[in-house]
Amino acid sequence: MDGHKHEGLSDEALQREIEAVLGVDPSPEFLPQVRARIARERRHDGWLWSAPWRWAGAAAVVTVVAIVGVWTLRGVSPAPQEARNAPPVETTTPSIEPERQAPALVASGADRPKSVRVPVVRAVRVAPRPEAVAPFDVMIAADEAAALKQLFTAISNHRIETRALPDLASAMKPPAPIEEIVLDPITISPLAALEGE
Amino acid sequence: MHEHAERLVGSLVMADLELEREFEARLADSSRLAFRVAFSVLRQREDAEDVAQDAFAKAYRRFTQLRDRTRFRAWLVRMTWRLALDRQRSNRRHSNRLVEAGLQARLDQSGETVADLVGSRQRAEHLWAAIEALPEKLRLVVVLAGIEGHDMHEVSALLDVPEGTVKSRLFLARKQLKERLSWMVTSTKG
Repeated sequence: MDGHKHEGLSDEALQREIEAVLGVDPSPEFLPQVRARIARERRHDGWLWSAPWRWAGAAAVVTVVAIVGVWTLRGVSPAPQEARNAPPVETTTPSIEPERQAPALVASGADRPKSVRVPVVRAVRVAPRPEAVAPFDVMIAADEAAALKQLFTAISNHRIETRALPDLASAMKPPAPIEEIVLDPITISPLAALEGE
Repeated sequence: MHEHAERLVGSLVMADLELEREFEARLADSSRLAFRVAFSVLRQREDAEDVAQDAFAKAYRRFTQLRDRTRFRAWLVRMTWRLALDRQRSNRRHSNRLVEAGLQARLDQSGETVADLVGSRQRAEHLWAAIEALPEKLRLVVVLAGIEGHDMHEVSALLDVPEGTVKSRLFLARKQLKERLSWMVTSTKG
């Protein structure tokens, strides 16, 4: 099991043999050569990676990463996600309540109908959103896109005098908010009784 | 603000000088170790010196990354061993080279004759062959236990493995070496 199995080659003898073949010293030039190599490394790295430059470089890298990070976060549009989460637009149409319906025309003088005010309100109500309003996706037809592309190309190639274009800024103004439209009540005057009745 | 920056730069430069001094001390302490580890793989002095030099250059470049400086020798051994194996793979010339350096040292010490030298060369060649045939883990333990008079504790520190593991690896390695070298004993006896 141990070294005694092989007589004449004990652990000690084997160890001596191993130490003998490994017992080689480096040449006297070895250590000076290593020092010279380290000195070359130091010179090579020294001017570029000396401590102040190293710290300045690290600070610059951190700054650039931070700026790029902030810029990227701002640039990312959450539109698709918000658009999915946005509540549906509710459109209300005026419902005519039974009691407010115009009465049937009657010819009796006793039951002379009075004038009835029937407010007709047409309103579009947009349900309030909890988050900020997401920008809408602009969808245009393929031929319109091609036309726009041609237009932009022509402008960039100075084939179109941009001064001749209409004032796009004013055209691009957001539409005025939708106001509630209230129509004047319709006054239905009673019909005059027919003669002879 | 300016003074503060100057102080900061000054302290950083001082820290660099401290590192330089510490590395120089480690270099003086470990140069032979690195060389012998490389030599145990390459068996050629020039190649071993080249590899040990590369290992020290690498260690210098990464010295600041070494948190526990007392682990320098273990770190250096691992780097040197890896670099030597890489060199061995890329440079197979060593296989035909004689182990003249080791034998010459032995001749100088013992005053052996040329006939002894031939026998010694053969024995050394066979011993090297047996060592190279060992699995890498056993081989490294044998090498480290065979240089610089390392004991089990020192080998376990260099390899960062428990002492018991070193003992068992050394036992297995010696057993395999003896089995491979048993003919040497019988032929010597005969």
